[in-house]
Amino acid sequence: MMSKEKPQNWFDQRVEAYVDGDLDSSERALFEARLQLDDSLRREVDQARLIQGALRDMPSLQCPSDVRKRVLEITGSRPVGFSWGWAGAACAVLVAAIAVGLMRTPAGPSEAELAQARADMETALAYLNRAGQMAGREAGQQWIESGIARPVSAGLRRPPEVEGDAI
Amino acid sequence: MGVMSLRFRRAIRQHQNRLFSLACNMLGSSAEAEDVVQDVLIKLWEHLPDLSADHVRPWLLRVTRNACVDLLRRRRYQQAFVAEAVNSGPRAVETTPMMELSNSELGSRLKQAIQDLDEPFRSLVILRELEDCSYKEIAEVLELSDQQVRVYLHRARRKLRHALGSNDDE
Repeated sequence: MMSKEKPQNWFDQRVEAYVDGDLDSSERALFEARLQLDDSLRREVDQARLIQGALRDMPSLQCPSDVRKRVLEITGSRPVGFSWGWAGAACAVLVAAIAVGLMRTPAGPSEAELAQARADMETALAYLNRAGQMAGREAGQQWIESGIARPVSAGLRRPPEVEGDAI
Repeated sequence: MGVMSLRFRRAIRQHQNRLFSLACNMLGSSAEAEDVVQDVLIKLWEHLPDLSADHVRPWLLRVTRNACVDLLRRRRYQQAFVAEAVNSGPRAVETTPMMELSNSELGSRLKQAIQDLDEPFRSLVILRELEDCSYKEIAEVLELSDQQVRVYLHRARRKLRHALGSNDDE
């Protein structure tokens, strides 16, 4: 008999196909011939039917109403076809375009640069002021020594006039 | 209310239970299934203008199934990490013969056995046996041929039969 030539797993692999009626006629004939002889194969077929029945009997599940409510709340504030992913991508493109535009425009000085320039200018003016004072003092000294000018203190040191001499 | 909005509400009404059931059976957790369904329906709102009426259901099933598979992958990674950390052994297997189980016991063991199936076998069993989808629809969702769906489905049910203790030779 042909079925005796097939290994055990050949039949095991066809149990579900047999239960579903998916075997072709020659395979079905082989399978049924083996079923007559093999108690363990018959048990496998019974178990396959039991599993299929149990699967079909599993209760269908109801989606909680909260889910629908939440979905309608979330989508209610968005236009149809709106996607945060696309919106994010559009924002990124916009930011990139603005950044490129700013890079091409000559930029004015920043606040920090202005403050630094102001500080540098004050330092330079302080040097100039100091140098001016020193140069002024040196020039005054030279004029006094060369007789061009008389020190203010010289006038203050003049002795008081004697009354008799005046007459 | 716009046409799209009406279409969207109708689609939710028609498909929410099936999607929830699919996600719940895939994940074994109603809380996670709720989150998945919520995300999928929001995605539907984003894609609705591009979907014809005939494509809404397969699209929803495919996106839901893919979201569940992603979640399971992440969960498996986390579980592997935790298992490694605590050095836990394999789960004890019940040895009661299937024929002696009550309907509720068989149902709960079957649920666990479905959870333990690898992809695409788990999706196949759930879509075909629990959600009553046609072979053509399953082929579209899983991107397989009709013949592959048939063969894989038989293999998936054989795995269940073996997992439930009737045969250990696989």
